[in-house]
Amino acid sequence: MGRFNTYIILCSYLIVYIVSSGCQNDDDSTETIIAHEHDIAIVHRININEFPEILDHVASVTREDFRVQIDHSTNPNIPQSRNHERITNLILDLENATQNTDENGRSNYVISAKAETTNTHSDFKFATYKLVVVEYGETEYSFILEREYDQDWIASQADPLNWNDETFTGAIRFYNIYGYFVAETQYSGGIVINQMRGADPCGGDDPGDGDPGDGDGGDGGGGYYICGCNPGHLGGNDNPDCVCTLPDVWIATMLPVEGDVNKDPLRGADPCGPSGGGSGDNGGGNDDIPDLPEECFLPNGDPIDCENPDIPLTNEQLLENYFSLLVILGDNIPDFWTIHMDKSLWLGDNKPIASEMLYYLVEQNYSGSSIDFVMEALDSLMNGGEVSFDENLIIDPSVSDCVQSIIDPLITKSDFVSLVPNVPINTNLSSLILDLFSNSSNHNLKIEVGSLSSGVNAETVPSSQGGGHFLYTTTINSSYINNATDLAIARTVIHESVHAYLSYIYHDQPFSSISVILRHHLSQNGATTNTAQHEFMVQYVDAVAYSLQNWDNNGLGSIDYYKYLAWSGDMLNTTDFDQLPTAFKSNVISANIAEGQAGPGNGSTNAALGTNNCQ
Amino acid sequence: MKQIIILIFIAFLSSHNSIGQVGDLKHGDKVYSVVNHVFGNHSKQVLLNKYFYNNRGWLVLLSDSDFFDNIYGQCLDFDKEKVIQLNKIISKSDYNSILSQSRNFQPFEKIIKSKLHKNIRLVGNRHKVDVIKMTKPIFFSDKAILYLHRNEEEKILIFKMNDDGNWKLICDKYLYLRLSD
Repeated sequence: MGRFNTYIILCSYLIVYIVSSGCQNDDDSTETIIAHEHDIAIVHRININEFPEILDHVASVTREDFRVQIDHSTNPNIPQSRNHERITNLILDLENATQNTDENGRSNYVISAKAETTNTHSDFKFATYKLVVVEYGETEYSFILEREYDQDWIASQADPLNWNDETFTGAIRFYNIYGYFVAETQYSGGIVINQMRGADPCGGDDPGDGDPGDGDGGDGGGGYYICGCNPGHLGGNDNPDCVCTLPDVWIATMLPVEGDVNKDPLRGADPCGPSGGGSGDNGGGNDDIPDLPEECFLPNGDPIDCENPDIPLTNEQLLENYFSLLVILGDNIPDFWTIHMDKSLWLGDNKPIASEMLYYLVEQNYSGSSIDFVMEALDSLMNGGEVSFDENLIIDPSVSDCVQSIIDPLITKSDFVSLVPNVPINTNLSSLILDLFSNSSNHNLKIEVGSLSSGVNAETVPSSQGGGHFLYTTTINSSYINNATDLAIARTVIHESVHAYLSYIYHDQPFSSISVILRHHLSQNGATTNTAQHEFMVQYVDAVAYSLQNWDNNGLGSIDYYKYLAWSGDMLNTTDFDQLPTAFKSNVISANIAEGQAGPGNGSTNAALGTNNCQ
Repeated sequence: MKQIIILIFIAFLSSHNSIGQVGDLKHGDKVYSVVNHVFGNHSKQVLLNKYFYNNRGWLVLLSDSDFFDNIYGQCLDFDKEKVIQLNKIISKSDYNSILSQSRNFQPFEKIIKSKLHKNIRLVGNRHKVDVIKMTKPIFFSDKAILYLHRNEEEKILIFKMNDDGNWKLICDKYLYLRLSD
């Protein structure tokens, strides 16, 4: 999938974090009970390696060797002394972690991290980092916690191994999992003296630009947090009398779904996109993936298509896209979260597909039909089917691998060269048809295998999906597949795709020459659509034959037999077929019988030139 | 002589009755002009059920223009070469008129063979797959509407009478369409 010009991001997290690093930090006991009027947290020291689900999650959101990073430039409040280097890499210490469980049995996991930095400024030395993993329903998400200690406060501590957190002086900063600054609280003597949310990391303040922090409707803001504790504690939030030693922190980051079309968050961790971030776009380009060299090679030396570089997404990007997709689906489908939880979980296990769906929805501008297509595609994928978002094509799980292997080359556009009436030579029929569907946001194609009436090879049914969206479902008869050769099946798929094509044109382009001719055939054939289309389809016989020949790599050495097969089904009942030479008609019928009835027990098996390998 | 008088009397009653079946003769002509327009040009024989299809259920679709417009198929303004919505074709009063006329649908109302083109063959009410069933056309303003049912498709057709007195199909909406083989 190519680059996108539309800025979207994502994520709506609601984080409830109930822990104080000071309470577990430096505490040698294996269990600490922290009781407040509003919560109880039980803290265990743990080794994350012993928690496989959490370990998997951590692996999915971190880089190699369990590294995360902080982009200091996203924090407008950071002292210049701290901004010595833009990115600080953090190495997680999986064996140095705590599990913090509240009264509802929900746990957070706090993993210590060590900074990799060349910054030797004293400010920087007094900071600790942790990755916090939060359980949320059946899944988890993470954010990064930075705690910067005031040097004088540390010096004042009576017990160097057990600091008095109730008098904490310094700052607690939150970064999302991508390392972008979210919020900061400054403490003095345990009392909150200042709070700052993340500034707009994309710079500028254009309404509707989608940047977090503008305050326009699309933003949702970079995040906020509250103390949540009751009077009588130390510390506090909006209420100066509200104090707490262990700040309850709620972080909500809402990055926009809609925004600047020139921003592309999908290629890098920079939420401002690679280049279009405006005057304040921090770095603009791709933070994680180096700019492509002119030669267009991946960093590992593999050559790539310069026009359409297929650069693997990082784990962070995959996660980001996954959340984005869920937000979009949740916004567009009533009760998505309650009705389609299975889909959400499946997407969580298949984040690359979630990314592909997200790209598709962005390209289709979140149209109703694209949402419908994604949901239909999900049903198919979850049951083992395949989907081509490029082609708006769903291959139902009922299509076996064998049949799939026949269809796949037909949808590989560059494989074929065919003659099609009224279109330039060297345009392939399959390509033409699939291009049509791929370029339409309201018309989708689905191929499946099912049980049809005896003697029917296949059928195509257009159906309204509501809202001006249409699905064209081609069903290949399972008994036909058992008996037909690969050559016949390929022919039938082409034939049915022509039905889909004509149906599409008839509805979508009613004044096109094709529709005019179809209406003529309808008026001449008792308003029978099936007959009218077959009468029309006679024009496509050569195109079908050449497509079939190319599919077969001209395995038969001559176009003749492919032409016999191009006449099939109800085309044999047309006026044009009646007027063909008798010998030709006889060959057509013989070829159709041979290739269509090549299964075991059929006397015609020996006459078939194709292979009957999809029984 | 008595037998001849009886035969003449029966013939008189019979012809009177047949005229009464289609009501106004002009209206009857319009009905069959539509039927012949739909099927008369077919180069092959058309098998049509000998009774008009006594079905009114499809009329409910005309009450919701938005829904109707989203059904596969289009309603067209050929002069302006654009797709038009149902409510531009059927006004509220047209719709009421259509509903009113549909109440006159009679079960087993025979189609008169003599008014049909030669290629249309009327057959009994047996479920042959290639037998077409159609409702009696309903007329409103300069248009006619009917519902057509065959094994592979079910659709609503709307025709408009041209200045030359010929019908032209301006709308076909498919409630079902299957393209096989």
